[in-house]
Amino acid sequence: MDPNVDRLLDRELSARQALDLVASLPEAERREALALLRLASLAAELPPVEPSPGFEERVQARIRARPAPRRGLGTWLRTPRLSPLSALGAVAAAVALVLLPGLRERPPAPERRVARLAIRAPEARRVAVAGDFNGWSADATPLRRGPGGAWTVELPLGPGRHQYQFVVDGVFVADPSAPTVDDGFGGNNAVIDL
Amino acid sequence: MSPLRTPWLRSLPAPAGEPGHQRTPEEAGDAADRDAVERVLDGDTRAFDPVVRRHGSRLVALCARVTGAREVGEELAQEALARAYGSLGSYRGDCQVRHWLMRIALNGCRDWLKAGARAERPAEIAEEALSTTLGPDRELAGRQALTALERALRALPDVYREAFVLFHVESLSYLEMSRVTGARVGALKVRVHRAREMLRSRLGERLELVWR
Repeated sequence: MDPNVDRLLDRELSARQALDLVASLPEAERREALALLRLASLAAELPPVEPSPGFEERVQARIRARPAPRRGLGTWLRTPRLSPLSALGAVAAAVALVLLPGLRERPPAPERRVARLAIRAPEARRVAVAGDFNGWSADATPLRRGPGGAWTVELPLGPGRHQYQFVVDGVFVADPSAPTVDDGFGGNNAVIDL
Repeated sequence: MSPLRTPWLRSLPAPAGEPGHQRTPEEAGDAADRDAVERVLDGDTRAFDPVVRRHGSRLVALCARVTGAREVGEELAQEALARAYGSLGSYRGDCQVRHWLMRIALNGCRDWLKAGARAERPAEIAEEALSTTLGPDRELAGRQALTALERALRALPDVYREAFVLFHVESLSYLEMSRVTGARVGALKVRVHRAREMLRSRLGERLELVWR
């Protein structure tokens, strides 16, 4: 079978390319391609499976039975919230830092350590790392391509445990060389302890 | 929308980035979903209700097709929505809310299938769903082909059925499927390809008869 038939079924060809392909196929292959197209068409036509009456109410009852969700740490870090009270608190803290020599003299500089992350992906066009240190951004922290298809990055991070995944051409991939933990949704995050 | 809201709300997938571009219904739906997530996390517990309304029936259909059992699908979809609600604080915003819900729902389906619960599954979806949703004038061959497809789908190995449903029934792209399933795009293409081969083989002349 012409490999372009798979590209056609995978929605990778334009309408014009599809017509040209089907027209160019030998009779037997054309019949097969049309049957597979019919299969794809039937799948798209499958009727919806409507929930039984009261579905929404049952979901809502389950939801009400659960504690209200709370912001995870990552969400708080991504969300700079300033209520009037917290703004006053911030001003008070700043004044205290200026006026109180004892507080001012304490070295506040956080300790930074360097995490060196690497993944081998010779075919990749772009690799980045997303983690709890960059708000799980898929493009904020790109890796540099090195010889042999190795991609690397050095990240200054605070001490402690950090979770991350590589993003290889847009696909989240756990670091194959690092220990992993369940991300709570059926996938795995790699972890690094600094 | 408050300017202090989470950054990913402001960095929604740009609507094509061109002046005058209208958001697709899917983009608009996702923006509403993300806003609902924020409002729930701000304490408005009813803000999740529209999310349930928008995605409930699609999740039921997904779970029913992946497990091959309508009642199970409904139960798993309910549980997925309730679990999602409880986990909203950990939603990272790196994918559409719809895809995040699908991911949670699929995990429930996989657990159910792994537990071997399929042996005791209740009513299957095919004839029941078709008889209520297809009009009486639907051509007989088309009706039979759809029924046969539902049956053939249930006979597929789980991993191939899941991939086929996501690509051909739910119309996800391979990249979206990768985000939802955690599998690589290459592996997913292979699964969909094999699923098509198996279904083609199982459905045989039905596909050709309908085409004429």
